Amino acid sequence: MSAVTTNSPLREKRAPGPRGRAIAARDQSARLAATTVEQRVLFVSVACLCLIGLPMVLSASSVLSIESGGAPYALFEKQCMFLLAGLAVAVVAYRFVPMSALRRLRLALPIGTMALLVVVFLPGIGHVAGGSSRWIGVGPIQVQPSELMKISMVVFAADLLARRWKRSDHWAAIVRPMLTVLAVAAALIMAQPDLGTTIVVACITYVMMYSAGVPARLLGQTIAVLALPVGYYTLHAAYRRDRFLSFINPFAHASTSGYQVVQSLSTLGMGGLGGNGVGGSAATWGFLPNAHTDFVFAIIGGNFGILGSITVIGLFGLFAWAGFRIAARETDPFSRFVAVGITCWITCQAVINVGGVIDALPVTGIPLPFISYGGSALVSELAATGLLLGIARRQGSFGR
Amino acid sequence: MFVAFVLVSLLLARVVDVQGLGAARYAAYGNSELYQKVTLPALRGAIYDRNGNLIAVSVPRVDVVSDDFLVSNPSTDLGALSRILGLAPSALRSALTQRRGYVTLARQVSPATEAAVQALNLPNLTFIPDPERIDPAGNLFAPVLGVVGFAGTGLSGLEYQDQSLLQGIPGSEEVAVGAQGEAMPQGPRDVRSARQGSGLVLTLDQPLQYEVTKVLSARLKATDAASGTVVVLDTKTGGILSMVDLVRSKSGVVSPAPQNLAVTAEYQPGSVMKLATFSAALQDGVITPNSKLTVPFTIYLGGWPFQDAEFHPTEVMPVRQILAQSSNVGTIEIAARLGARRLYNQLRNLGFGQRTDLNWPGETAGDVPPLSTWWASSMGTIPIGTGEAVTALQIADAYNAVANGGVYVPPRLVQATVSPNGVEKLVTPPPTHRVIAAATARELVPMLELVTLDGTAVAAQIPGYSVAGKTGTAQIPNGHDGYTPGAWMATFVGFAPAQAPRLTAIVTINHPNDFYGGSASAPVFSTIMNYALRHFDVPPTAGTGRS
Repeated sequence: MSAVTTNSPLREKRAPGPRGRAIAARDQSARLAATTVEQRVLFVSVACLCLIGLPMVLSASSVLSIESGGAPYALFEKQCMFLLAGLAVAVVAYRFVPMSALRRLRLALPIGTMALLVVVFLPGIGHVAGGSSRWIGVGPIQVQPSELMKISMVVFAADLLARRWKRSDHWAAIVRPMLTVLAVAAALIMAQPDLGTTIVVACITYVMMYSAGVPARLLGQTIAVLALPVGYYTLHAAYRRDRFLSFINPFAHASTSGYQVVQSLSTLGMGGLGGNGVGGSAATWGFLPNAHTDFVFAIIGGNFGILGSITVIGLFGLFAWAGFRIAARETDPFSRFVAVGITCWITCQAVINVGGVIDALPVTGIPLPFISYGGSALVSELAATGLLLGIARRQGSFGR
Repeated sequence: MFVAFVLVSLLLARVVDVQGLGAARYAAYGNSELYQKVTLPALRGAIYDRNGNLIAVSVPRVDVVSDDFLVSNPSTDLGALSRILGLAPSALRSALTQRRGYVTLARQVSPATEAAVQALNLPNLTFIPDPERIDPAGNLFAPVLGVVGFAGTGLSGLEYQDQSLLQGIPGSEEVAVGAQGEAMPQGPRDVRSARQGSGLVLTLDQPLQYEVTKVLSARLKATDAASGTVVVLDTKTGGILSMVDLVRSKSGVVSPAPQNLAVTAEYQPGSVMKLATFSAALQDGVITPNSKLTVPFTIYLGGWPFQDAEFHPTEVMPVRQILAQSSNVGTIEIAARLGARRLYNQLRNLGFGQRTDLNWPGETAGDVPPLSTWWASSMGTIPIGTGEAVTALQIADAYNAVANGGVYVPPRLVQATVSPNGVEKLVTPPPTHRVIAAATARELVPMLELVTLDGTAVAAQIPGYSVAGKTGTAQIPNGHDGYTPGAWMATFVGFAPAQAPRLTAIVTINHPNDFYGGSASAPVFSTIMNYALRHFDVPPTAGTGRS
């Protein structure tokens, strides 16, 4: 694509074309060429996570790839393709998607995504895997619409909050419409079923409302009201109840509902302080299910030891720090809320994923951002990173 | 922002717990699932004869085992497998469809066969190590060596007795196995190499063993005997040079006995036991070789008649003639002069009623009745060897003491052990002890020599060598109230050369049609000693050469 040529001097000198404001903003930033600490931290942390992720996906998937009849690099190669596609999309989001353009999609994005979430259940287009209907697509390209719901929610909420944040203590102004959209999204995603993504979307929604000044008391009340049906739902289905309860003492259910967590903890323990080296974790030999997707963090800890685990958690910490700093200094309300939403999304997802892997939280089945195998998640996360960096870039051009 | 910081801190704390403080516990669980302990069998030590000939050796073999639950279609590839294993396809098919999960298709196949079967790449086959015990000398030493069962366990004989030496120490290792059962690329850990068992060097001599087996086998066939035993001792060391136990089936086939009869079978020995009476009486001065006794044909003790083997009128016989002619009555008269207590003590002294130093598994002590149980006729039965039970080895040892000038030399079978790295270590022989005064032994030798020159065992003579010895013929008890009619044990025991003994031997033949010890066993003694003396380069006795 044009990702490489966009920075060439030739294109810099071209007169503003039909893309108007976007080009103008880019030219301005190029002139100032000032990067902030947050920008660099954000970029480096995401780059490191992606670069750590690729060999970990290879390490975790090579045995699986061979056993499913392919070359040892089969899944790794696909993940490399996803990363390249994600980088292209990130560059586009960074350079060519002004906030105004994004804001125009405030309704189209959530409505379109919800439509796709319905399409998931259409036979012939939707694909079932692992008991869940999560994918749509034809041929080799398959997309997980629930991943899109996160950015859709961010855009929708950012727009709503930007317009109404001054009336933040009004139930009807913010909380009611937000929760309504969340309820519809949650219902569609839970129908797949996909609890983890639902929780991430809910977290994004609540943190954004909180950052807009909605009183914690009001949010707390809604959570209290929601806790009842959510609790019933969690404990009603046997597999969810077992999964939820087994996190308290997974070793008591080591061969049933606690199996995955027990394997994950064993992998981390065997990694210990020094790690087993890349490819050295025995867990990848069929012991740890979803080693290359939801439980890739265990492979990192197993391969690199405690240093690897701390590094990855620290990188997400740096991401959160940089993301919230960018949001804090942002003067444009919409951009600010987008920054909050994206940072919250990545951070929440990382915390919930790592928490599940290290048995600090129940396992909900979501990927680790930037690292886990999976195209839809990686591409949308890199796109979000591109947007976030774009916001920071414009701060650099205007703010200094 | 603060909340994010707290969350990240909590995650870090938990990571420190899982991978730092509590790592050992989690790792132990993981390793317990990952590693499977595998036993590395130790190769059993080999057994050699005195010349270094291999007479028992273990070779690596495997059992081919099928997990028939894994066979979806047993008809495929059966042809190749049945060809390699030499099993009929129909037998193979039924073996593969027993639905038991563990069916042994073939035992102890060679590495070449194993490789051929592995090349078929059949997923349902497993190869279990099962070393085979091979006796390169055929079954020449079978009753002595005994049997080795599955997994290298000695079940009888020397293989059982020296099991702890021979078996070695099995090793182990832990191999990593993936969740689907595939071997993982990292090597085994915690490898403890198996320590090969020690070897044994025996006192047995394979050429002599072969010769003895050949001669005894021929004799058993010639006399229609039920079984026979021969032990040849190195006089000076007590080392057993040959130990042969043969049985003959009713159809006439001679084969190695199922056990080492020379030490596990006790029997009434007959006249060879007269040694106890004569040695004690000579040593105590009760008689001299030239003393003369009046010997009737029949003598009564406790109302029971005792007779000599062949009728003779009452006559005056010198002591040496009583022994040479093996007169029962004369011997009983000497025993009466000696007294029961001194006779009993001499029996014990010569080793009867006690297990030998071989300490053989299943060895019998024999039966010398305690003095308190003797009654009137005991002084008739015990001096002539019909009131006690002994083993062939006990008799050989007692005569060997005479050959050694009155010093009892305990029998031995293992002269050295060989460590796994090939270092030979001599086994310390058990201590010897004097049982007969040297002067008495010197008096006994010419008397025993007379037996072969002008007595009951002329057939025991060896061309070129002087021989001292004694015959024994006894009826075989039927187990309750008497003797089996027509069933005899014929024994000859002796040593050569008589004046400078080098070899001592005993021959017993059970149930020969030709019942006197002199005629059944003495020729066997002559033939094997004729071979053995030359085999061990023993110089001929001056003045006895005939050819």
